[in-house]
Amino acid sequence: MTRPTVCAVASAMTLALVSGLGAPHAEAHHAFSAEFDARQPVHFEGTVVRVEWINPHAWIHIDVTMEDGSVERWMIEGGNPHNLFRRGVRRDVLQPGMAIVVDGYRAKDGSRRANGRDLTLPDGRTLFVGSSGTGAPRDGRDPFEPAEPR
Amino acid sequence: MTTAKRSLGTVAGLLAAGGLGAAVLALPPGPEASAEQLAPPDGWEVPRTPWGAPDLQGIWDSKSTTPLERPADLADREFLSDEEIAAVEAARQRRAREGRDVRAERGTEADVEGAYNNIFSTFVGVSYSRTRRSSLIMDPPDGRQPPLTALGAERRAAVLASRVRPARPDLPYPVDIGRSYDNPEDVRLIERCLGVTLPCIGGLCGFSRIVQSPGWVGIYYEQGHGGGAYRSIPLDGRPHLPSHIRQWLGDSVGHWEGDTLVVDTTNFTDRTDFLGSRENLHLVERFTRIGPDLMQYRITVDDPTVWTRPWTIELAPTLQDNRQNLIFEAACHEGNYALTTMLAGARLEEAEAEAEGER
Repeated sequence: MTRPTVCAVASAMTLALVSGLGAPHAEAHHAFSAEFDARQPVHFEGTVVRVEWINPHAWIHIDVTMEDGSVERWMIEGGNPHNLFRRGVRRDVLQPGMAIVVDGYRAKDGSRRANGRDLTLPDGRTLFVGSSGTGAPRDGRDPFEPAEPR
Repeated sequence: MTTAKRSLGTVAGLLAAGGLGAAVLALPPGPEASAEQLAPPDGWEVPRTPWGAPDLQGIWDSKSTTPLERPADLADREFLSDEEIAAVEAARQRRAREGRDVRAERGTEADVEGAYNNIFSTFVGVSYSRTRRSSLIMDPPDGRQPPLTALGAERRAAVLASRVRPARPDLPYPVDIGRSYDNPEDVRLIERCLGVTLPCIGGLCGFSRIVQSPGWVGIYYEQGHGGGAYRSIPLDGRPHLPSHIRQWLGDSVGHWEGDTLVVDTTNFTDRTDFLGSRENLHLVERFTRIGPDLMQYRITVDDPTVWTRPWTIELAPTLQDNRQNLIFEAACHEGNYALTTMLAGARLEEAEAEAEGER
């Protein structure tokens, strides 16, 4: 039995929008705080329905059984496919029917979307936290890389 | 035979034996500083296409942890020794491992930002450039960008001033909050699937596939988050497009100088920005294959409106296994749900702020 928790922290913490000029940034990343709400952390234990391996981000569709027994379908935003791919997260790692645990934040727009702050697979492996085997798979330049692709 | 050549020959041989990782760190100290440090191994000949051109084809990885500019404490050092590089790498790996599980306070924007962003900041799996240079910039000789013009300085200052909230140096991933999301144009190029700009170095740029046909070279840049981009470079001696025709990736024309592919690119737009350089950016790239798995890739950057003189970067892309590094397609806009969600979230926050104000 999955037990989702959708916590809404005090709404009094109204976020003031601060205007910025959109600075070019040397780091390549996604500004998640624009999309997801720090006041709405979510914790799901769900089942993978399908994965959209698409740019700019993969989306993991999961079914979550709610406390009243109903099933809700949520979309979890993940990394971009080529980064996941180079980290060994391929189609065979994240498959329909797999039970996963998602710890993240709900989208600000109220849709059933969340980001996967931490995402745990049945074998305990976590995605998105920098695993060591990355970059060019097994080119020998990362001493911490597994010997074989996962 | 120079020491440099001997070293690279050793590297190439060990690579073939599958032992590169340890081998590079175990090499004897490099030769005296030399602008020609990267050189082909003895007896190696540039592979050629069936029509006789130097064969540059394949998937190349140009990522490295070498800084663009030379750190101040290495002011007089053009090259690092292998021991120094090993120490730098070990420290970086240690930081990456220790930083993996660091989270900001739960329920804060800084924690939301950490979703998978730490995979970029840890930069694991990427190592120091095989050039052993202390900076990617090889010219000017001090390894730093030349002095800026007034316009260049103004643009640089604007970038610094636009940081609306301080970053969180205590976190191992970028925290980027407080931007404006009034319209799609506010959103950074990389989040709008327009992330590939030239020169495609650093950040998510790193993997590219080069293909050749008689008279043409094609380069595909994989940049999952930012979309990816295709570049077709004619080698038939044609002139650049008229100056009023501007393109996102500029207009590239190429030719061979010996075994080096030289590509000249102009006609950029004012919508892209490389360190302050926009429509007047002029790039001259030189691709030279210098070993079974190694390329010398030099980029001369010129924009007299931004810098007081041209400057040159040297990268050392490595050839990657085709099977293990299948390149992901560039399609991006169709799946960019995040863009609408960000804009919708911003509108919701505005409505909330307005309601708060009325109470």
